[in-house]
Amino acid sequence: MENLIANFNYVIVVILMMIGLWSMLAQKNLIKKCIGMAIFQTGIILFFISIGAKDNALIPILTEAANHTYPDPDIAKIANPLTQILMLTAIVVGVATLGVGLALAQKIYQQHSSFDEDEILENQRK
Amino acid sequence: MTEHLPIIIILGPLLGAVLAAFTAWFRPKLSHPLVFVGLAISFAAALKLVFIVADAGAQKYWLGGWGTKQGHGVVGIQITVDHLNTLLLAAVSGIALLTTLYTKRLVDAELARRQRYFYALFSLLVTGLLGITITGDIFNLYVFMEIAALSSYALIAYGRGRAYMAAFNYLIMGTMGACLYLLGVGFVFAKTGTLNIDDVSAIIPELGQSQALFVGFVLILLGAWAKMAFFPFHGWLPNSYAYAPTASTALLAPLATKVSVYAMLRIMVTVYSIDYIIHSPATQSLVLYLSSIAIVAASFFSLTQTNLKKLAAYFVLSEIGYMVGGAWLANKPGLTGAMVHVVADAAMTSALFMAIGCIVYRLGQAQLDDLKGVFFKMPVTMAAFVVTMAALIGVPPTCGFFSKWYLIQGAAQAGVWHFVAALLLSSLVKAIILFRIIEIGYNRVPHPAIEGNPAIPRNEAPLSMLIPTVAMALGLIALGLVTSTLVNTIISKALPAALTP
Amino acid sequence: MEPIQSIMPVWIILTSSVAAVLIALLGRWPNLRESCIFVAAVIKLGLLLSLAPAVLDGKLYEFEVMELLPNVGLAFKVDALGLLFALVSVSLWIPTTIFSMGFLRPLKRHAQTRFFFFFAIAISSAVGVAFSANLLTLFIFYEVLSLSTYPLVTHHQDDDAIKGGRKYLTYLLGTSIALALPAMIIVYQQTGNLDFTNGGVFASGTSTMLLVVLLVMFLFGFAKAGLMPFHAWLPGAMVAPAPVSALLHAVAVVKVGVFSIIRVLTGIFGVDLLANTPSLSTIVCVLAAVTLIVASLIALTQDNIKSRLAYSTIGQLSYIILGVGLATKIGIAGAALHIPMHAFGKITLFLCAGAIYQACGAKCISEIHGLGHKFPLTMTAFFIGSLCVIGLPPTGGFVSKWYLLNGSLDSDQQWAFAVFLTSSLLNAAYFLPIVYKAFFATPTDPARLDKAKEPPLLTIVPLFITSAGCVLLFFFSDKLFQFANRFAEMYTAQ
Repeated sequence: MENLIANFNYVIVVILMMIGLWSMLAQKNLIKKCIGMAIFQTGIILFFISIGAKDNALIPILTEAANHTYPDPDIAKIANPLTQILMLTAIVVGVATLGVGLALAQKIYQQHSSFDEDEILENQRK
Repeated sequence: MTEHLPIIIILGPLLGAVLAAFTAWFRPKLSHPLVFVGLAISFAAALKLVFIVADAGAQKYWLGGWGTKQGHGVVGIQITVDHLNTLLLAAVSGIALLTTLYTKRLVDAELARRQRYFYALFSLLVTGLLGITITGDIFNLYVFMEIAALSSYALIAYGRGRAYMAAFNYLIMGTMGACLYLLGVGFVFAKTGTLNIDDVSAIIPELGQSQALFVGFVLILLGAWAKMAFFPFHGWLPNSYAYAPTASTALLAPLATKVSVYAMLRIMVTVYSIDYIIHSPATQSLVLYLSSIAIVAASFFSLTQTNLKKLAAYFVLSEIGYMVGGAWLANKPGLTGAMVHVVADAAMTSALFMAIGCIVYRLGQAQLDDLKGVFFKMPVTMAAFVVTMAALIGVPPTCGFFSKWYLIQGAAQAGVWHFVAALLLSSLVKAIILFRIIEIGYNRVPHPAIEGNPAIPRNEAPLSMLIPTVAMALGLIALGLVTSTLVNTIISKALPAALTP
Repeated sequence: MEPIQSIMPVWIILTSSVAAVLIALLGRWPNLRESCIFVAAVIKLGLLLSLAPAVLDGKLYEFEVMELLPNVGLAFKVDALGLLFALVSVSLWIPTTIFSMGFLRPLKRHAQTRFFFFFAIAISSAVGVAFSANLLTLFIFYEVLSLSTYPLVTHHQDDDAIKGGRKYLTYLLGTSIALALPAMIIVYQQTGNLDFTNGGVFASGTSTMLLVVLLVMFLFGFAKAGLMPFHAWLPGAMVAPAPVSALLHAVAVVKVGVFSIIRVLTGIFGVDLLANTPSLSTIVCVLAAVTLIVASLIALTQDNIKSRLAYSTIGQLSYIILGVGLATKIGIAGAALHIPMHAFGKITLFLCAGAIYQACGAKCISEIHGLGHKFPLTMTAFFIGSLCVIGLPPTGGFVSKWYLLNGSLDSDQQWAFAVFLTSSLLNAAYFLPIVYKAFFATPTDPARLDKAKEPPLLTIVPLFITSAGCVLLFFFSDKLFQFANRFAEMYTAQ
């Protein structure tokens, strides 16, 4: 239990991802599926940022103004910059995916006047 | 110059895509030749690298020179061409090049005035696939995976109508796969502190048995399986391939899933070591059962299909089972079989969809019942089709026979008889389907050479489609004949040294 | 003895493939097309004969084209049995082509070019099987043969043909993929070797259970040999035109099946292993003996001439398998000898069946009662062919059955003697009445009597050639016996 509280950010990550995964797979509404996708991705972003974070760490910019240990930085006192950069990329990918997903959902809506998966499938069978 | 060949492989189609998207604004006609040139450059580089790798071993390339100096290691991005991926690189760029040539008339016919951005997306997809194959960095692999995936959603959605829903389902499943993969990468990064494949594989053995690493392994594999439509994540594939424009399917079907299989092999063989599989027999036997189920179920579903494109999509599913199963046999012939089959199946599926594309181009659709007399209408196409099906069945001396040989040998060595049975069953089902098509296409019409019967005018697909189709079909036989050479000079060196012979 | 490295086997195989290409190109000029076949057949026969002296001396011709799998290549080897089989197939190609011209042209059959094209491919692959140096090469040509004969079986393209063709492929492809291929892979996995070697490839101490399973898989996997219960494709394939049934389903295709089994028994398992492991030998003999008797009994009940012949073929093929299963030198020689003897006899019968159809339109035995005197030449040829298959002098069939009987007495399986004799009696019982009734029974259908007449010369000549062959083989059987004996010696001499 103590472990859970100490790592509460990971607990939130898991909760976010479960919500996301559930609405991607179980929801019938296409927009809700897209929302689930976004939540899932947010969970992963939080996960990466969490593993790069350190207690009382400084931003990873190695100039005198930002970091008093320059030019000989104490690595234990600097947050890992790599995870943040990775997540910048992941956010871009996530936005692009969400955009394509919503565009497809819109096209489907134009055809079937519905976002409901069952209704759409029934329409297609006709 | 030769040291820059690895990056040229990706830059060719990437620049092609950018330029094609740009020229699409004012001169749409330019995009096809631009993409073609980009892919041709890429293919030439990939081909050259095959020989370099066979002679001199793996080629590593650090982007922008980062990582070559002391202390750069963590930051630089590496791309690698080694024995495991060099053949696939050549296959992907080569097949993409032929498909570019092949799809021109098909795109004109199917998409007409909507084709403006088609080739830009086409080239971007190839960039993503080549990137997945060539990268030496597990996060980079995710980025390329999504580049490929995003362009393929769009390429499928070009089919309109039911294709939108198919593309949407693919998007959901694909994104889920990519997210699981990324999550797994997070676990690996947390434990090893690096993303470079060489470094990760050097660090993992030092860490010993680690649960976090195992969870990462499973997540990455789940991600790859969702991307490659391995049972039970296969639901999105048949509809996507069937309702996409034939031109899109001709590129997607042979390459997209195969490259995901490669990603799985890369993770299994070089990032993690093969011991991971050997030391968890329960997981191993579960995956092998899943593969057998994938093969058997896909074979049965293919028997019930009435549409040629959908039928072929089920073939793709069963072939995925071959490769996953082969890799998870985790012995020498099994892994060899999986590696040979990745290349062989890319070629076979490409030839299959090219032949189907020719039929669709002339007949307008691909219902089995519409095929009556097609052997008389399009004899050359159908000859290529029969050769391709023979390769899929595994008739020697086509390439399909040899990969299947290794797979069965591996399964026999491991004593996994249900996998042997599944492989043989799938061959038989394909044989049944081939001869059903021959019956419909050849025997079900009054023979036109008999006096009094109506003549069937010959109506071949245009040469720009026919030549790539025939070339691909002949390539299947050529590939079969050089299998032994390829295995000896390249693939056998990609196998982990620890394997029992 | 040092084998001779020579590319000759490849040229011999390719001769008829080149002919096939020419046939396809010359399709518009039938005379040119068919003369092309004769030229190819004569060249091929000449090349084969040129290899004969060295092979009879006990030398081997070898050639490896390329490596396909580690230690297994696309490789050819000519030994006495392979050469004998190739000689039989190619020499019978000539009369069959003459017959085809006489049979197809007057009836204005469609797609004759396609017919001759696939025929030539089939001959190529039969010779390829004969010359294969290892199981993989053999399997490749075996499959090519299955696929290239499919268009011939479905030549008529009506419902019956489609049904027959479907059965044909289901049995042949199905068994080869589901049984022979995995068996081959297991052998490769166990031994790393697929070459046909004297004494077999298995290391001593291989478990008998595994050997038994592999043996059964091979016996049924090469379903072209028609072992029951995988025999039904052969009667089904009788929908093919008469020349196809004659050359392919009496000689090339079925003998390829038997030949493959002989190769597996002698070259993969080894005669010693068979002789020393009673269970293996017994399995082969029992399966063959059951097929032998049951097929003969079924043949008695068939009214359709071609299906009676088909069941007779199934029975005669088992003679050969039984002969090898005895695992004695004389039995193997007899089995090898039975390949040409039965080939000549059965092709005569099939050609006669075609000729009878052409003479009076009859497909069934009951339809030709009393018509024999209208086409005496055809029926005489039929009589000689029957004698050869039954095994009565003065025809070649007598010689091979003589050796087979001797072989059964030499072996541990002496009950086989009784099986051979019983079956020969049954052979007589289902062939001789046909001839008798054709000449002496009262005609059942007077309308047919008026129409019946001797078929054209192009049809009759091949009948003479092959039935003369049946008789000549009796008088020159020592020549063929040299081949058979050379082969038997090579694989049994220790």
